[in-house]
Amino acid sequence: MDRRASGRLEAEVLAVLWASPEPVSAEEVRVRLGGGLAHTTVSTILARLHAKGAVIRELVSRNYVYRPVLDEAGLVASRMRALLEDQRDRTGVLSQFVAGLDRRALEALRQALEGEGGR
Amino acid sequence: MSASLLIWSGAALVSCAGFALLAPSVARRAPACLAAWTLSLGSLVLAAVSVALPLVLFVVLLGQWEPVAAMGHWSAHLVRARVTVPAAILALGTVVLAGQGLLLVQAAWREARALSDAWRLARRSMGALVVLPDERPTVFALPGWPGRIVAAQQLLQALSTSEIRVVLAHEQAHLDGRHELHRAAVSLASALNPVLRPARGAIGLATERWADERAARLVGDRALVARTIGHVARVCGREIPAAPTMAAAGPGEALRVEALLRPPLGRRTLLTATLAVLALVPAGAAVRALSQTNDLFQRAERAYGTSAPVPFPPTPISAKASEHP
Repeated sequence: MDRRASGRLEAEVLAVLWASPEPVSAEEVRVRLGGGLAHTTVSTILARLHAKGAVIRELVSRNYVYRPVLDEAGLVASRMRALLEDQRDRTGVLSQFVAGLDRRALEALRQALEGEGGR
Repeated sequence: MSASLLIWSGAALVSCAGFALLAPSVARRAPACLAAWTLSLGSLVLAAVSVALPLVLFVVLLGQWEPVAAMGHWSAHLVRARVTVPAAILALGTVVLAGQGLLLVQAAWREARALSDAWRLARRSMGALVVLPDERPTVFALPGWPGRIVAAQQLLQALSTSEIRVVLAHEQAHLDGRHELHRAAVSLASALNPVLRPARGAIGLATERWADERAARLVGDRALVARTIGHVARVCGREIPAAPTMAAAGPGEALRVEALLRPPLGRRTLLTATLAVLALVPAGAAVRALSQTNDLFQRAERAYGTSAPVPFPPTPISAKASEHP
């Protein structure tokens, strides 16, 4: 697996952990990621994240369950938000996935999605 | 060095306006990667032209000034004789150049600070993904070495795993493609020449579409990417009040969805080529003006000795006394 793909998987695993309200096992992470990943691939990523201190794990009925840890960058979240807000109009260095929609744009979006059976 | 310089300056302005006018439709309809490169490089070329022409006006004005000519050993008389552009226009060019200098310093400072802020924050995170636990739903790419993806926990909880994969692939595409540099380039260019301002919105759309395309290729499902844009917009849209600036940015998402769902439009070669020509023709004119200026000053240097005879050896005080014996 090349470095880029493994970085992407790492981000996906972290996203799954953060999206879940409870600690999850490696097997649950694998199932939620889908896409036919091997159990060892997921375990390896979780072990690496654990070694970096990005997740903590505990034993629950002879199985490890994983919980994400707020890192230093997350702790300066307010600064990130401030940076983003500061940027929005003056420069374009940061790009948000969606820039915030007005009603008209949302309507256009809804119409564009209708033919596709949007949720 | 004459009226043709003024004609070319006017033509360059018209080119910039045409470039700005076509930029949004290139961003919408041309292949996203091609559109982004054409917009960022074209803006930089046009910005360089926008500086080069006032620079020529300033230089030929300065060259007519005796003390400067004496220092540079050229004939101010010859420069004056050859330059037929009215002094008022030359002065105007100088004022424009000074204004551009100020704007460039200001914009470069702003962009550099924004980039370095982002890089500093990116360095402080451990993993590929930074999660903000107590924030309104948002997700963005934080450029750096390596760059990071920042997402609010609320957003991750609202999305399905396949949607999360789309969002992460999209943001990773911004980081891998260094899209922030394309945006910074257009931002700087439009600071130097405000006529180019519409290109800023266009480069934003082009880079978002570029990231959408990369994400679509990765997950192999364009409709999923389109639905994810819609879903994230709804999750974020409820929280972010519609401010006037955002209303201006709003239709971007609708255009991205439209681009993902419509059948491919082909390469739009003519449209993109027009944009490139609009940038390159004034560049040729600017290069010509610069080389003409260079020629003028070389000629003026050769004329220096002849039109203003200097006694040899130059002994200024005694020479003056012995001039009319």
